[in-house]
Amino acid sequence: MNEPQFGDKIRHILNQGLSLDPRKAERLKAARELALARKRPEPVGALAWAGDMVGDLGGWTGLSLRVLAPIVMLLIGFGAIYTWQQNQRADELAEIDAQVLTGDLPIDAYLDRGFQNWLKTRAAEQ
Amino acid sequence: MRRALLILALCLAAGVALAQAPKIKGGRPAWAELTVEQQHILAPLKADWETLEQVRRREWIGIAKRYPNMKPQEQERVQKRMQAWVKLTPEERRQARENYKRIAKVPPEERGNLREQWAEYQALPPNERQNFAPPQATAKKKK
Repeated sequence: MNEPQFGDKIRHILNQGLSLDPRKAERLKAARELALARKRPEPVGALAWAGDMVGDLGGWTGLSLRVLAPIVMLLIGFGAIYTWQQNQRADELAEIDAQVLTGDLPIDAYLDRGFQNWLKTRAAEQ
Repeated sequence: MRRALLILALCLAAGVALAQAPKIKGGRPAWAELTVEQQHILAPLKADWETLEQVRRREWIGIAKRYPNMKPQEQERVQKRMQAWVKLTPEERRQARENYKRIAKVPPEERGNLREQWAEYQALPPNERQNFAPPQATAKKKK
């Protein structure tokens, strides 16, 4: 069978059209409708909006977002460390100051250079 | 999807940063934000509280936390000395702390009664006391 003959045959079959009995046609139609009904809905609402927005942003700030995010994270990290250190320092000062404030000597005695030297001299003499 | 996560992370980060900001910025906690107990203990500082920087406020809160465990005599001393202490310059406080630590290092039996020694020193004639305080050190202290 050469090529033109084969073509003629196919044309003939196609021209005859599809003859389906109505019951089969009905079942195919029902199956198609069921499939369409079960199809996942398109993303709508907040997600679609967020997606669009991110898409828009990505156009011109995608790179800066990629750079900014780690920087912001880093800054927050530094902030947390700073706060923690300040608290540590405050606690150390509170400890020593509580001792100075409750100690036997008045504050003036600790500030009096003469008294401090006098104490040293006395300790050396003994 | 990754970008959406990134945005979410950024929003979270900004939120945390904002929440942290007032604490880092200073001026916290305000006097009104202290508990009734803290206000009662730190009452002598009320007038100066708003001028204190962050670290020092936290420090005083630390002292207030230790206060209930102090002996009555110690509590009385803290109440009496609080105002004088808060008015010192940072350098004076540093100096006082250093001297305290140095004296505290000496064993009690060698140290003797510090209050008596302070009284004894104060009873010395001024010119004799002057011998122990080098002039340049006195000048430095007064600055």
